[in-house]
Amino acid sequence: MKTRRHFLRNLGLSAATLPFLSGLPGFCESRINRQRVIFVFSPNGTIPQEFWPEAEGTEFQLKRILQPLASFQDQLLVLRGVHNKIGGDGDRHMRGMSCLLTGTELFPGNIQGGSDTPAGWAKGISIDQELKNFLQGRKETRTRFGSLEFGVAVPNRADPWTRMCYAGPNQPVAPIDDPRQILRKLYGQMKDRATVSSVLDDVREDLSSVAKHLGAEDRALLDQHLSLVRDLEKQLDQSARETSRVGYPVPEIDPSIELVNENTPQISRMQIDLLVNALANDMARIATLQYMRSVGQARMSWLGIDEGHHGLSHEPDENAAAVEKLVRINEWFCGELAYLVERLAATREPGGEGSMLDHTLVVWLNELGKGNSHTLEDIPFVLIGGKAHGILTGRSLKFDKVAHNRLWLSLAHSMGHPLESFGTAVHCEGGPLVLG
Amino acid sequence: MAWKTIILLVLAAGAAPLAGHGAERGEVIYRKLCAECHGAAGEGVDGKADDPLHGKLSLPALAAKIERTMPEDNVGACVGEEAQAVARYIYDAFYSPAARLKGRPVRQEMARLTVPQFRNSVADLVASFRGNAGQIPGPERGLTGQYFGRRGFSGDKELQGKDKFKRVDPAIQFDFGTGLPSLPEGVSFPAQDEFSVRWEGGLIAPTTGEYEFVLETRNGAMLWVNNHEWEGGHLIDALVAGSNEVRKASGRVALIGGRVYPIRLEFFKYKEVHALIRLFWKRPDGVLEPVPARMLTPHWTHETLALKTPFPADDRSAGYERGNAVSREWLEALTDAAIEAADSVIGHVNELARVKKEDAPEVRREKIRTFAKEFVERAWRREFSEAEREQFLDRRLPKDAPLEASLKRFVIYTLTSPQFLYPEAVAPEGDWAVASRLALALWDSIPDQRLREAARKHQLSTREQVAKEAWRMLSDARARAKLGGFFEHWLELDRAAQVSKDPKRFPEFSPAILADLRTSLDLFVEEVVWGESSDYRRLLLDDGLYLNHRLAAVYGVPNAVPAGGDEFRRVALPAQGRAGLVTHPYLLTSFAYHDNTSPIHRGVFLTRHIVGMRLKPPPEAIKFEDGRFDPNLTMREKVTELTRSQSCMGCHATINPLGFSLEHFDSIGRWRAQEKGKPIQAAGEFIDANGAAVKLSGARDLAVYAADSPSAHASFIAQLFDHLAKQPVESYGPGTADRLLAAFTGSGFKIRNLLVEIAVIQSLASTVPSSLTATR
Repeated sequence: MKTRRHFLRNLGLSAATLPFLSGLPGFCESRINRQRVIFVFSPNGTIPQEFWPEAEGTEFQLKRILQPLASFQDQLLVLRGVHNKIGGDGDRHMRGMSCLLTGTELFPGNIQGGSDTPAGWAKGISIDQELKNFLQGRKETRTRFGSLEFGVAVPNRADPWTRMCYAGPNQPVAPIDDPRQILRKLYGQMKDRATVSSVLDDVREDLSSVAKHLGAEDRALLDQHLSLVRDLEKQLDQSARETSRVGYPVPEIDPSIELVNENTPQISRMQIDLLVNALANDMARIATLQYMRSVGQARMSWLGIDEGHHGLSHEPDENAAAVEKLVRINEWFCGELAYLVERLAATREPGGEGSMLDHTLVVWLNELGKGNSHTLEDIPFVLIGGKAHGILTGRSLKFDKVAHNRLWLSLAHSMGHPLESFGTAVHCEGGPLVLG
Repeated sequence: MAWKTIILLVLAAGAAPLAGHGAERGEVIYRKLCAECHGAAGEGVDGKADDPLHGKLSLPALAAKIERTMPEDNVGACVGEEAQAVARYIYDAFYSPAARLKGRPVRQEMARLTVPQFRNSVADLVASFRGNAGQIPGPERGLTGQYFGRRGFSGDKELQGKDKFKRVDPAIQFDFGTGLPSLPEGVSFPAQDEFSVRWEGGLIAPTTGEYEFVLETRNGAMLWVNNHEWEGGHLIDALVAGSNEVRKASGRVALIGGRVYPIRLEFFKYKEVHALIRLFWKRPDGVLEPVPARMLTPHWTHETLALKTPFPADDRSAGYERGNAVSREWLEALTDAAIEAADSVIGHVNELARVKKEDAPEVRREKIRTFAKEFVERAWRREFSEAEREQFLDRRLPKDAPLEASLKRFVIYTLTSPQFLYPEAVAPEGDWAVASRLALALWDSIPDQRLREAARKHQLSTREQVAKEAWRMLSDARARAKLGGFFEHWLELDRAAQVSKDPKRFPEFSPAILADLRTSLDLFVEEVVWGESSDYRRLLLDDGLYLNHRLAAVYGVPNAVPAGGDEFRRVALPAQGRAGLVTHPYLLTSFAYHDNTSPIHRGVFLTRHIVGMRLKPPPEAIKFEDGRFDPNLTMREKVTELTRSQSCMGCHATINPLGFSLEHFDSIGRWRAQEKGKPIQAAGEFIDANGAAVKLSGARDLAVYAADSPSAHASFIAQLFDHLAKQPVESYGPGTADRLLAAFTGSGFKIRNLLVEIAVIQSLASTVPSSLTATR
């Protein structure tokens, strides 16, 4: 399928002329061309030798960590050689996290990491929020929320290790890691409406039976109350009928699930189900799904691993047992990613062609290249799906130490938002990475 | 037409009618001269005398009024004995309160919980599963501060506690500069650029509404208000600093007035040069100011469920808030508030139901069912029988239903059912009804543990038993909050909050001064009512003012209070002729124009609220336009000119002299000797409710008169009764007002005794709605 970007490139038009064309009828955002992006974060670096495919190009073998995505190999774009080059204050976990989507430095501050100088929040907006603002700024791409920030097992604290989304300088956006809270945010009114409807039934009964014992004058107030209750019931029925047209049914969430480490696998699946559901019902076009946080110490007991993730990630390469555990941890993250991708692939694009995956670009992120070296080089970036973005998948690419700011430029351009610069300007030199 | 509208001064008085004779003659005259406009039975005639001929003037005062003003188009046609005869007829037939009570007793209206009653009841309902609701904070003020030599709110193990200390800080306003806090002897911090402080205690919220908190800091800080969830329950997160610059961060929280809320502030400096932390708040209708020490207590307290959901205001047309009407907006707000409460209950259900971590699911379910049972019993102010209970729970909280969802439904149902909302419609007889009424009268809330216990044991049957409970309940913060609400209404304090003054004439006036004046008034009322004497007369006669250093400078005693800090102290001002509430600058400021005094506003307030005479609305609205007068006239001269006509003087004969008596106090309540170069004329004379002429030389004369006047006392009692019971005192039988007056006088005008007396009378009244008794 030809997308706009392919078409334009074939015409020999540069990205800079895009804004002039966007007024043409054939180029307008249509339901068919709906584009979404989901950023999925997992922490503490990867194990390079079990992550990066050996070969470049279209013929490549997936290593262990990416195996869960095997059935989507033709929809993968593995990007090696993309570095987070942001320097300045803060340790590398902090910059890895808070500069990941912002592409800019941190303010000097009072939060001290394991090394380097203390730092504060990022100095700029993150790419997800930038894209959200862009989409929300146009009527045809505007949605109820614009973006949704999901979390899984994110500790309840706000610091540069825990936040990757920023609405602007010094404005971190907190992910919601409680599926119940997400459910309330997405469907709270609907659920409450149903509860209230059933309560009103009982209240009506009580009002009648109490009023029976009263004289005419005293009854008047209760009778009035009663008729207001009847009106409210009618109103609720009416709006329930209207919202029952919501295309994709609300997932069932166990309301008693506790937000504890052991329940992480179930919570992860709940969040993914809610995320896909929210996107299917077009409540947002941009989403983030953040697992734990940078320096996260999740104990993956469900994998039989009792040590904290961050602790393990510091073990030297010679510690084969630790490396093996880290591979399995990253495999687990990839498995969750695969579940998300499967769900998107299995859901028909509402009102459009193909599957939701065809219209959704999933981006896998990490704050480090490798845990024990704390390197910000070779961040394990993987793009999945997103036919509508005009990105050529089924490939393993190797770039020559390019700044990750350029990746975000590519993303923006693929959504019709031809930014010339994003984050720290010097790291944008060379323009968007060619992914199409 | 204005000239046909009869303006009656309706006075609150209790003088006995003259011995009756010649009533027939009176009736004949009435038919001839009065009935055309007033109707055959004084009910009024549309377009003529619209209002019914009802009032509280004494018989002689009524006769004098008729002689002076009636018939309107032919004054002088009914004088002397004729006026007396017709007055007697009117008085006995339909005019006097007693005559009206004879015909049709004033009944108590069916009412729902008022909005404050709903909020308080929900707060106390949830609090009853936590512990100490309603505690009055002890005398200590400020927050407990724990200081540590490390950023992590801990000390260094190797220093064995020598790098930490504890103290009480009156207010959180610290610029530590580039160094450390001043350290007590024996304590030393390891580094200059690192320390942390955790302040904790209670925050006293004086009024109900939304509070804004603002943190100003160069460093890391986090604030919790009314939330014990240290993980995620914070109001302001400013932990991450930026470049050591001064930042401001704010958050809003809804609080119910008169209660104490937990507060915690954490602060740390790390590898930074400067350290600075300041805590501000903006009370509802207040100004942004440092949180004053008197609103902070160094002691830990429970959190309280203070619902955020906004409600439409209750009806106040009768002069007090009452729940006599329902509306769609109210029902929607009620529903939202019930959902909010349910979400909060579910969020804290393990704490409230005392579920332990190790409890098995069945144990947890059983504990939550027990909690639910108690929840609904407390909310509905009753107790289920064993059989009822099982039946109720089986239906409302089915064992096989998902627990959280059905509990949510259960809570919403409990709080939106008439059983909760209409205490009198469903009030069971006897002790439980008494408990319910006592709690509403004194706390606007539900019965507490002690009251429930007393009801269960049938210990609320005699006057003595009920009075004992009422006395106990008075020494609870909720009683203070309820009485605070009374002063809010009585003194029309809400109008003052919006006041502004001409900055050219009153450059020293500011929102901060206005906020200080409110504090000054609150401190005065609190000291009089809850202090040793509790003497109503002191409210009117005290010759001092509570001042802080800012107020002292504006109100003529610049050195009376030391500068710096936010201390208020009572300063006696005998030379200014101050007289308690009558001359409190907050009220004088409120009842005044933005550039001048307003003897009319002040006079109306004094007439209605302090002297206790009722006024009807003016026949036509005449705007006071300053520009229309000769600029050399004093305010008194202008008002006299404006209201000189006969139709105005019906009321203004009273309003003006009362208002003029305060002319020594300017638009912001400062004492003045002259206006426009002319000495102030504060003297005057008015006819009181008994027809007696009262001479006033100034504000103190008026205060002395009101403090000794039975009709002023009766009016105070009636207004207090309205506020407590949300029903008029007349509806409790014809002798009730007189009995209360006698008791008030007998106690030496003690307000606390009066509160107890009112609470006892209204809670022991036989089943309240008269129609109920008819059907039983």
